[in-house]
Amino acid sequence: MCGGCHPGGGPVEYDRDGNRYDTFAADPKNGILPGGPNGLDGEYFKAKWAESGVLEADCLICHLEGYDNPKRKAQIMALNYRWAATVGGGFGDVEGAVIKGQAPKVTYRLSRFRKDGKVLLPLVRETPNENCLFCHRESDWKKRGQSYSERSDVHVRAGIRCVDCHVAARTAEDPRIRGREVHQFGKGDDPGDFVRDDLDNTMRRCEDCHLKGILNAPVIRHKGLPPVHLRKIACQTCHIPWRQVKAALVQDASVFNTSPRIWPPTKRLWSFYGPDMKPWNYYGEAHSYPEGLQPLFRFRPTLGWYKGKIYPLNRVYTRWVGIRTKGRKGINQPLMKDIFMMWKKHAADPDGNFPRLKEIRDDNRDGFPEVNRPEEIRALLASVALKLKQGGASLDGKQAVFVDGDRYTTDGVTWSSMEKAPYEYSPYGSVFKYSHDIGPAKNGLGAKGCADCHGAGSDFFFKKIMVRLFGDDGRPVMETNAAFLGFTRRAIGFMAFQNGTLKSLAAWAILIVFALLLLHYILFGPKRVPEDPSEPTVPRFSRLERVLHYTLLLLSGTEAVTGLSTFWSLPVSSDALGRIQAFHHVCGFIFVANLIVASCIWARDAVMGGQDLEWLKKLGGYFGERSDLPAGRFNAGQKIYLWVLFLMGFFMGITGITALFTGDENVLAAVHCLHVIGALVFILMVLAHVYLGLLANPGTLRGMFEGKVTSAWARKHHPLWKPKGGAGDA
Amino acid sequence: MEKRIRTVRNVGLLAVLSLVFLANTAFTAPPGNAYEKAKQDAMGVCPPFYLLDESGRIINPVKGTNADVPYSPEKTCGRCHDYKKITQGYHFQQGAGEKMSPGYAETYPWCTGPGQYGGRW
Repeated sequence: MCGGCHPGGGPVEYDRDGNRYDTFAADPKNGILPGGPNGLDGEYFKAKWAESGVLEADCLICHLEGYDNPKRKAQIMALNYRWAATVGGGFGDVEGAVIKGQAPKVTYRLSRFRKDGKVLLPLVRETPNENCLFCHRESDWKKRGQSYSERSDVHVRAGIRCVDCHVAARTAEDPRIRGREVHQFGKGDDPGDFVRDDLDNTMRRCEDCHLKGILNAPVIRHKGLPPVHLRKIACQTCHIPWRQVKAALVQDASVFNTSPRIWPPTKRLWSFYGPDMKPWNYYGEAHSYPEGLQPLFRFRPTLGWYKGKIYPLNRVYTRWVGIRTKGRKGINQPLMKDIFMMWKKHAADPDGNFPRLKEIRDDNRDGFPEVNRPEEIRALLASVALKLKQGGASLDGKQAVFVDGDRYTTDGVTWSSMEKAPYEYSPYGSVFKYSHDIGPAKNGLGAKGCADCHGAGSDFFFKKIMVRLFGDDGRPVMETNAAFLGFTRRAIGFMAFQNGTLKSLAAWAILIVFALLLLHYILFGPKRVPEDPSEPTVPRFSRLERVLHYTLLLLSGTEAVTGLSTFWSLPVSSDALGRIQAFHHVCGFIFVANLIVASCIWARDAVMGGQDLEWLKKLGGYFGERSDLPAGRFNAGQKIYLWVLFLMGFFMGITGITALFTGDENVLAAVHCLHVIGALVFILMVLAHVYLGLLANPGTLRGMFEGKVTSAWARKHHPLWKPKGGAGDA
Repeated sequence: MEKRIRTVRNVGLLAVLSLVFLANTAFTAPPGNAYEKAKQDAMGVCPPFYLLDESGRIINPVKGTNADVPYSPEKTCGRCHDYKKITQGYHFQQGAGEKMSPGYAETYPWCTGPGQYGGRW
């Protein structure tokens, strides 16, 4: 069976001790009995190595286009291991089968040989896709949901070959796999696989082609995409918005599958549920549909965290009977043949053999029996325990347990949980990252804007994913994908508000404030103070104050422009947005430092006094009041502005720094949204401040540029102010 | 005078011999295995070859030589290619010989390696 996909060599040629099976088995001194138990050694148990030979690594499986893999498989099923390569390569035909006790005989096809008896084969260095799919087509369908077809994958459609990404030998760049005749193919990093994890991520990444243009791939800029998305979200997440064929969500080994077209019979021990949580006769479909023609089934993949990024995942949920040994962490499995025989015997005589299995019924009426009620669980466990005891197994210190996802029970009532990785359903269920069947870019998440994911009710956050296949009521227990990702409802709300309402609100608010200021200027005009050249001037602001003021103004403007660029997704590359953001962060730190100095200098002058009430009552004279209003160095409006400036500035600093350094996505969502709200208020304030200083109160700007104002201006706008060293003192 | 002529002759002879030696070094192919590899590169694709059986004997059905035994990829391809090195690839080994991490071994007591031999569901 294993050899159906195994290319030969390694553990199908040599045993754990490095002995070639056939020569070792043929040597009488080793005492290997053909077809015998051979000490229950898994490598020789019931094997006929001396007769069958071994499966040497068959180079032609990968390097010969047109290799006849079905015929090779047939030879393997006949236990004609030694002859499999000859038939698969198309060199000849074989009669006889070791499995039937016959001696296979090969007849070579002379048409494959030259006159000199040599062969000249159209061998290729790089494996054609079809040859990879001899093994990967079916094995990668069941739980990985891979299709590898032109109808579902843009890369296959574009003619990209498997080995273009899964590079090997001298094509590889990674020193871990590069080298002449090194046959370590570049691999990704699948959470469900543990073979050669040291070679994880040796294959070409999406970025290798789509940033550098390798293989003439379109170079992607991700215009307008805030760079946090590329840091936190894997390419596959957005570019595989939909899956095209089913992947098993649940593998249930607690019932006997009587669906049609399942073979070999032992596979009836496994039942599958698809992404819709409905029973799925996977083997039936696999045996019915021609290769590569899997039935279409459209669904959104589950999104989960893996190594710091969000990936589309298939997490396999498992249900089975295990054997738990007291004091041990792992739960063992009974032998498949015991469970298989239990069900077979029960089917033959339901009342006589394991009658309690009759208690297992299709309670939820989905056409398939399921073990979910405590009585059903107890019936199954009792039957398994009985079968094991009948077979002579001792259950001393052990007990049969029903494993359901990440928990197990002995009675269906009390459950114990098991440790697992956050992305797993169970420590015993594989988790696969979806990496193939990439959709066109225009179909990717975000292609139609932020609302693709951040809109209310978007599938990214709000689609329902399964927690358990059967709850107490026999129906699936569900949660939102956001909950699985660890986002709180409030955090999602913050993100939705920020990317939806706030985006348009900010634009409208700025436009409205502009309009109001213009209207004010039209209606009330500037508060001019007659200029008299002979009028003495008084110092208004020191040099330090002026430098500080313009630094703050410049930084405010910079922060506003850079911040709004990312907030409104300026259509420049994500990289450029990243650089803009970095500049925003640096300027933010400088801004906060300046603000601290400013608050130390101006706080004393910004203390509110009794005269400020009258100023406020008359709205600072900005709406028609012509009389002079009481004001010290700063009027009440300026004082309020200063206090709000200080508070908002520090608020922006705190939220900005928190957003920059927090590792908690929920905190990030909240503080980022608050930061944007604060920024909006801040921007509107600064706009009004600039208008008042520049247009509404002519002469004010002079104080900030030259540091001096005329005495008349001072008397008009700040009658209670006693400037030091000015004409007033004189 | 004669001594001088002899010295010049000897030096000349030495120089010619040195040149011959250097030329020989420069134009001689790298020894053994390296040359075979260079030759393979130059060919780019596999040349016509005989199939060999598990004992390394030529199979020639045209002449009826040894034509009743299956061919051996190990012996046939291994004549030019490093079979042992190639079969170290994880496609061939499938986790054989790899050690399991302590946590893995504890959780999957029935597994002896990380390969897909019935570990995870």
